Amino acid sequence: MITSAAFMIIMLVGVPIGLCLCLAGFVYIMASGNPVLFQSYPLQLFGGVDSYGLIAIPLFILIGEIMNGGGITQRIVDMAMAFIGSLRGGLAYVNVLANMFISSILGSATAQVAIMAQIMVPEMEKKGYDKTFAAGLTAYGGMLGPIIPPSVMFVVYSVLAQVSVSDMLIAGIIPGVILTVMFCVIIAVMGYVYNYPRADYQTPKQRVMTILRTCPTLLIPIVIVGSILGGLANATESAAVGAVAAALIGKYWTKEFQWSQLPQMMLRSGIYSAIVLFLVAAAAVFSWVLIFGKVPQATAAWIQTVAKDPISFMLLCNVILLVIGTVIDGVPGLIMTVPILLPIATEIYHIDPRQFGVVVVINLVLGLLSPPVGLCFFVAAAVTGAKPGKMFMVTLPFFFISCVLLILLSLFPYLSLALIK
Amino acid sequence: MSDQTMSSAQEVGFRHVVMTASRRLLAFERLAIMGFMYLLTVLILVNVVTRYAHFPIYWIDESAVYSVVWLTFIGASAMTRLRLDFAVTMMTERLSASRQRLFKIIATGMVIVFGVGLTITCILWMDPVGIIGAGFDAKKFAGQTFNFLYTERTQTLNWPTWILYLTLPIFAVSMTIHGIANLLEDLDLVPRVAPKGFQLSELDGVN
Repeated sequence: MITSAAFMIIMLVGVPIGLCLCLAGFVYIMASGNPVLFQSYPLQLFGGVDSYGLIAIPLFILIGEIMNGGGITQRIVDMAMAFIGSLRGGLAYVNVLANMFISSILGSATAQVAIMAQIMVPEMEKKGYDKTFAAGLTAYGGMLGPIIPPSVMFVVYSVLAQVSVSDMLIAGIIPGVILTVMFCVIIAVMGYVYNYPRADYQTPKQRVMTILRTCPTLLIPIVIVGSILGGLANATESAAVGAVAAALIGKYWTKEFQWSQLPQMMLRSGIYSAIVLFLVAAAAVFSWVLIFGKVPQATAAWIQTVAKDPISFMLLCNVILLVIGTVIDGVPGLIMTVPILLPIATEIYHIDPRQFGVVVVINLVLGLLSPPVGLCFFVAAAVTGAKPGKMFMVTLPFFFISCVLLILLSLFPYLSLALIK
Repeated sequence: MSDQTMSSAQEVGFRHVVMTASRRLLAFERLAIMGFMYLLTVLILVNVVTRYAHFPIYWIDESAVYSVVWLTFIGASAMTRLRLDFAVTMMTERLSASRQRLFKIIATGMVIVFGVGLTITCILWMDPVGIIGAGFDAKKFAGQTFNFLYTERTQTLNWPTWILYLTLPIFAVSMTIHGIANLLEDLDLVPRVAPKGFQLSELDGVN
């Protein structure tokens, strides 16, 4: 009780979340009157990141850095434009499709929104789209980042849940594709209702030329997935292979990547990784405290009085996680909720941890697109100058369809597990 | 020289020492972060190549894991100074500017509390006085205290684990120094200076 109160107070004061988790550990040890636990404290912190699966995070972030520095992102947008740009609402489809492609390389929603908002929103505005809609749509496109592999959130989840990183990454493919298709259906309807403009017409020859010019960028996801399936590398190592592929394509195909940029890219990747990884370390301390404090058992007892079967449990989790996701960012939200909810999901309701992981991650990511915090909207707003509140209102259909997907994923485990051997 | 003048000079000296220490530490951390990222990438690529060539190097996985552990804590210390970490600001950002400043100072103060707390737990855990008292004899120390820290070795590298664990006390001390530097800035006792060598965007983030 004292620990929970202390945790809430220091979090609301604005103390970084990683430190809130760590300080809650101190408070618990002092309140428990068992100071000998202080000696185990550093070991818990160290043990939190002493895991092979986490190696993938710095490397996947590095791929994103190299890809952006090497002009590969712009090529992917050009390619999507050649495929579907001439349809009504073409640029909106391009936005979603390019986001889907880029999600197969990047693993972070906010990074993706920051990159894509700079490229897509001015382009859409130029063609007559409402800036708020363009920015909001880009934010939803960014939602695909942590769902389609590689995904930093899935890697963190797999470490927390002790499930295979590869399984978690593969589990995100079908939900990501379904979400992309659902977004495209909404664009088609909205395009018809609001008479969205078409992009400049490209002759078949121009399209073929664009696709030929840009298709080598597709080698990056192919190398990542191919190296895993071909047995050359595991999921973690595939990130390093992907980084090399991105660097070579950036250097020799797009010719925008310079080796002199690499030290800064390494530095940024290292720091952004540390932000996530320190949270994982802090989560280990927090989980330790939760277990000592028998919090999962108490929560399980309460949940069992409310949810009688796996489906009602999953739906209840959707509501809880969506609310948590609105005020807490993706990885911290994952770290705070998974140690409590996962044992209940697997041991009491016998839900597959991988299906549960997909639902939790999508829920928390959707929280990034919901008020009052909605980090993705704030990022898109910072880049484009659109208003976050308005953005949420004009993109409400995307919010509702994402909720529908969550319900489907909760009801049908097959959607998450079909591709896992 | 009056007592007041002396204490003022000591204060200025203290601020200068803290800011200089924080700046030098950050410069070192910058190099270390880049170094560990290069090391990690090279280790993983070498692992892929050597395994493909049928002569895998058995200690690479463990080296890569510990590189990431060190990267985490050195990076976490740097991110403290760069003020890059996640925080819930939905309550504080609705307050007046003066109250926001007050909460900012409290939040920064908590960073120092954590840094000092972690330093103490590291001292309790690593028990430097105890190991010196045992004449640096790890087995004797373990027998006396049931603390096996100095007898353990890593599985494949076969390094003493305490060397790898040193990242924690280093992190605790460096985070405390960065925390004090941030607090001095928050209290307007020293001017805010943009850190050198970091081309970071507020828009970049991870989740």
